[in-house]
Amino acid sequence: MEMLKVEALDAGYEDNVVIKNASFDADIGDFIGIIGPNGCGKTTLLRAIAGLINISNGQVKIRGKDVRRINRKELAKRIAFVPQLMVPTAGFTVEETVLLGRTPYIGRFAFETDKDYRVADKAAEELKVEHLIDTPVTSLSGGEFQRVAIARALAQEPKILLLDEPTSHLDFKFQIKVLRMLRRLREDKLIIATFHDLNLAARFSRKLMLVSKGEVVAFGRSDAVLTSENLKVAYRVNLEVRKNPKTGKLRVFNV
Amino acid sequence: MDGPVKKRGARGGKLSKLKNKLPIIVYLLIVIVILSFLSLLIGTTKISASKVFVSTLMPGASNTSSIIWQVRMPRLVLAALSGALLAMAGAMIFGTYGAVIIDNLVVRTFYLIAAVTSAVSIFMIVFGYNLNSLYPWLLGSLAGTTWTNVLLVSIFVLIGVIVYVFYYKDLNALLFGEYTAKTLGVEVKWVRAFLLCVAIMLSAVAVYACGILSIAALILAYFVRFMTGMNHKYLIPVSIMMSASVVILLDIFSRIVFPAEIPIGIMMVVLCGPLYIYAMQRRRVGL
Repeated sequence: MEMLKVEALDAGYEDNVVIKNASFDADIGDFIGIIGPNGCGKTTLLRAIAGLINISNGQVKIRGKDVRRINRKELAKRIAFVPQLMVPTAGFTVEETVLLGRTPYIGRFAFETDKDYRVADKAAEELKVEHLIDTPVTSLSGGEFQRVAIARALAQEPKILLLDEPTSHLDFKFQIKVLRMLRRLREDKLIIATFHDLNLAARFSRKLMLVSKGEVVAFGRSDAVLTSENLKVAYRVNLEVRKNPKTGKLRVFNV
Repeated sequence: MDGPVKKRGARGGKLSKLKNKLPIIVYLLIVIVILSFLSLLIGTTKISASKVFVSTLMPGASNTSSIIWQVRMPRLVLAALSGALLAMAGAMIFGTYGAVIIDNLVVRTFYLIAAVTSAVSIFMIVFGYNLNSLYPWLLGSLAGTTWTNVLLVSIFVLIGVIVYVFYYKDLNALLFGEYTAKTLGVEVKWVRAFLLCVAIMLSAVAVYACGILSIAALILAYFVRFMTGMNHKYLIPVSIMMSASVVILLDIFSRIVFPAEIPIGIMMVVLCGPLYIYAMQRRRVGL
């Protein structure tokens, strides 16, 4: 049974349906990049998958089970979400922030165990923030904190990792580093991330999903999704797609 | 900016974390001990410091000992417990709404608490409590406290502590926003409603102990976050100690500043009123 199945999904807020009739399947080992213009519903789609917002029609199934029927604690062990804007909170060190990811595993009547610390430390190592472990998060740079936020999500040991513009606060070097790390992680996870940068999305994702006005316009291998015609429909700009002769990856140019 | 590069030993992290917060806890403990002694020392009957010390340690049948143990001690303990109640209630109210600290919702919460307490007072009036005895209760005074009052209030302090121990993780998750808390497995709606109910209950008990005006002291919990940061693991214990010291201190003041006692509720409003204005101002400029 596939890890994630989205069926004829309508989702949004209160009485504002943003996502309309989205359907797709995804499995462990996938790295899906969601692209699309501002306000097209990329973030809303991630939130719907995470069970955070109102699903008015259709369903999101995880291993065949409707997300709405899984309790929050169990869901938190399967899906982690890295929001676009996480604000560093005064009084938390990097370690304490990463440890937050263990919340669903710690019983109400218990404290963090050695295992929780081990998992958190490993997540911090994975994101190369282990040397900052005792630093207050308020004294980190934006890029460092973004990595801490991702480590916090990893500490949840999720099967599905959702990231909302994971590279937006990172400098060029760390954009590449974080994306490489995510690509490595997909071995035993399903990763879905939204992107502004089409070239980064094309270079690192295994599949792309183009969203426009709340609808999935195209989904599949990047050369099938990233075409001038598709991009014109979504972004209303003329863009040219060429293959990078060195890497064989697609690149988008403004015409 | 890179922080100090440290390689930690296998496990020792937990202890070193605690060490960072220890000074503030030790200072507050010293403050509480000194204030407690002053509180036992000051009163209408003059008792020398050494006698207070001896009578406190050796409760006997002597006259001073009975003044200390039957009059001043319950009053002192009740002051500390009320501080603890207000601290926990405040920390829960401010924590429940995460980053949104002083805004309409919190103001509404205060209305709600006011509503609960007025309901209690109307109840008292209807069921024939003497209005003259109601008057000091409205303003709030710790005078005439008995051990029975102390026992009753301490039960609620215990309830507050238990709720705090079980829910501080949820409060921490909520600091990072509603969505993040949900993805960490927190049933946000339920936890908010529950903690708000507990906070209202605790404030109501504090009102029983030191009068309706004492809810002004809820704001103290808000200021502790500038000392400890937002992590509720430290925020709540430090809030409890700080509010306890403040209430003990105000109770001492209420006895010495004027010959006739000023009700503690009035003292609290005098101290906390400006704190509210400061907090609102701070919020407005986005600090």
